[in-house]
Amino acid sequence: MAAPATQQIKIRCNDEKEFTVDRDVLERSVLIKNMLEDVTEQQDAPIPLPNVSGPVMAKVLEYCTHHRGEPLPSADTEQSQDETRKRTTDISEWDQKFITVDQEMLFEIILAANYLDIKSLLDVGCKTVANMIKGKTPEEIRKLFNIVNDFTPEEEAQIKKENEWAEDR
Amino acid sequence: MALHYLEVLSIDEITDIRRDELQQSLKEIGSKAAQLEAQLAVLTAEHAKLLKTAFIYKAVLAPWKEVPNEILQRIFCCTKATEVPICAPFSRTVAPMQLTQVCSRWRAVAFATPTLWQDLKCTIYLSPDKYERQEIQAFIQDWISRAGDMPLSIIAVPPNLGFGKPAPSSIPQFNFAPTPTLGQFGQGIATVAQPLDQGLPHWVYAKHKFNFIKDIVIPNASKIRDLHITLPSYYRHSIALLQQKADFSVLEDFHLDISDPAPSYSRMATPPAYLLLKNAPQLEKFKLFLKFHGLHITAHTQLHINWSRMTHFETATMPSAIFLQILDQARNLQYCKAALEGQNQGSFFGVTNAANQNAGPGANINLPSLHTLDLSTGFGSLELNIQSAHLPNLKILSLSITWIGRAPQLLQDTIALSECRLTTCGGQSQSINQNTLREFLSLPSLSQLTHLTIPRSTFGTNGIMSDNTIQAIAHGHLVPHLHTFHFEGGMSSNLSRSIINLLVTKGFLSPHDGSTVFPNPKGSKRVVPASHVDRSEGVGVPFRHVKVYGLGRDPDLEKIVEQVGSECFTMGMLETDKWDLVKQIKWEED
Repeated sequence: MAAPATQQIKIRCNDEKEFTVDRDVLERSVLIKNMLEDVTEQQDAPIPLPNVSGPVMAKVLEYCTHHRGEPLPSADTEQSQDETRKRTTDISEWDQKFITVDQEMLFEIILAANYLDIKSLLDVGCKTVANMIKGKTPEEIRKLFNIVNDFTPEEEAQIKKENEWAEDR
Repeated sequence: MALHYLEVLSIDEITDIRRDELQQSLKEIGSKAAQLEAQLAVLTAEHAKLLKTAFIYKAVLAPWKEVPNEILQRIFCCTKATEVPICAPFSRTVAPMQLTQVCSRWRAVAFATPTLWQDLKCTIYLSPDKYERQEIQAFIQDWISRAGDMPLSIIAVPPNLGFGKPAPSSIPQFNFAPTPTLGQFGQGIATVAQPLDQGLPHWVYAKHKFNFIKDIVIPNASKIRDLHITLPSYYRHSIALLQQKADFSVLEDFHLDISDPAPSYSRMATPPAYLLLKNAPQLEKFKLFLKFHGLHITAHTQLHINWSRMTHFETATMPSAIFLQILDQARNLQYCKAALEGQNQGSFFGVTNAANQNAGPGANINLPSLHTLDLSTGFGSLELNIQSAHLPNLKILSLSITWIGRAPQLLQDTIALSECRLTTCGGQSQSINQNTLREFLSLPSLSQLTHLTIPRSTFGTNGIMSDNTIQAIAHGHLVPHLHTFHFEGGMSSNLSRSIINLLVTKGFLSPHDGSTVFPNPKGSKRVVPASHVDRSEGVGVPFRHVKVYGLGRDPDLEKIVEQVGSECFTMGMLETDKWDLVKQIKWEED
């Protein structure tokens, strides 16, 4: 018996770029999943995604396609991770390759994952940024992310005081 | 016609002309260089200015700036070190302090992320003078305050206050309280002979004005979920404060190790600690080591704890009578590691009393949830007595080979172990009769064994396991379901080449996916003295995970490191995925 045809859904990004995607791929996004569940009738009009650009959506869809069919993390899983404080920064090999992008795209993916409510992708993005931060001095972090040292004199004084307890000041 | 004649210039005249030309050239070049330098300075200044402007533009447009604080918090949480972050002294390259020194926004977000601050470790090893300043208390308390209502995980390891200095002559001498008898255990109320004052001997507190227990642990006790304390013995006074003042309502995991930091403090004969954690209703994991003068003084400690909730218990040199009482109450234990005092403490692992003498030792022990029992430390452990204990779910057992020799019929048939770790202890050369070892490995309770660890003889040249026993395992005559076999040989050559070949043939060792046999292509009889073999299932099936030990003792190591690359080694072990590289090494003939 032939497998039932997968429903195709159209989405439109903020740059008018449109994608037609299998429903199960799109349902990696909790936002879109809920939208689709709320709509009972078949609609041909594309779903507007005003906060995501075409190139970023293409990356997000690449991720969702690779991970289609995998169970979605439940709220309980998240909570228990927090509770046990065993949130690791391990990233699978495929995800690592996928997320090897320039900094702008990396943060765009994180923002898109947050907007579309794709927890696992958001995690991959956050872990990647966290791994970039780990082991660096504040000065190195500023350089890496183009951050201006904008501490007030009071904050500078406080930091100086705190650094009396630093082993590598 | 007049004759022309050639006027010849003198050497001096020629030199003058050339000097003038050179000086002129130098002057011109110098002038040009000065112009260029001036231009360069202008360009450099412009470049720096542009760079600054570019940085500002980049900073203004930096992608991370679009990221909302909630996501920044999420990222920060991922930067938490795998190990508990060190609070004092902290590192500027490790979260969370690292994050607070980047910019104002990051600082504010980091301070507003309680998860970042719920774990702290204090290895206070700054100069002793620092301790005279109470700022450290404020610094640590600020850290803890940022955790808000999150449960805390606190690790304190010894400060080296005055380490190595002789103790003052005015140290008061105390008498030890008598060791509690069995009847007193768990019932007596602690009385401490000397006033606790600040929880430290007067001279210690006067010098340092900071007591981690009194100033940090007790005020925050109701928020502490995990508390691991390793402190010098003079802190035992402070431990008594725990029972008096602290309410550990969410404490789940408590490690207490009170030790002597240096022989110079051996004169501080202070009263023993009494530990009555009456207010720790959630305590599930407890590890207790109290040492004094090199001796464990757990015997001098009264324990008043809700043992019924305990799932993990670890102790050393506790009188076995006390240990038994604990086991009697701790029916939910899943993990237990203990080294018991065997001598003159009146009891064994299991009670043998008049009422049930016939039942044999261990008959009273009933731990239906116990999964792991580690009696490997020795010091008089009386593993012999697990013969009669009711341990229906025991899966992992560690014990000294000594006891196998004494009691080969060690385990009841009702036990079905999946993992057995045999150990040597006491730093002595130990051997075991191979018939006895094979008899032990033939026990019904080991018939389902999948993991076996056999130790190395500490000083002997031969391993604990003989070639014949290895052959029996390789042929599947012993422990037929074994798939992870970790055995170590002696310090020098021990396993014969033929045995290695047999193990390779039978699939225990597979050079194709990384072998325990170190590749010594010269054909020397000296082979790897230690090994770890993991076989997926059954004899003859290649192993999945193999580690190669003992490389540090191999004179060919340098060549292998040179050929394969030092990054392929972890802790002296060759990474197995580099095995192919090793095989490609061309060896010179002897």
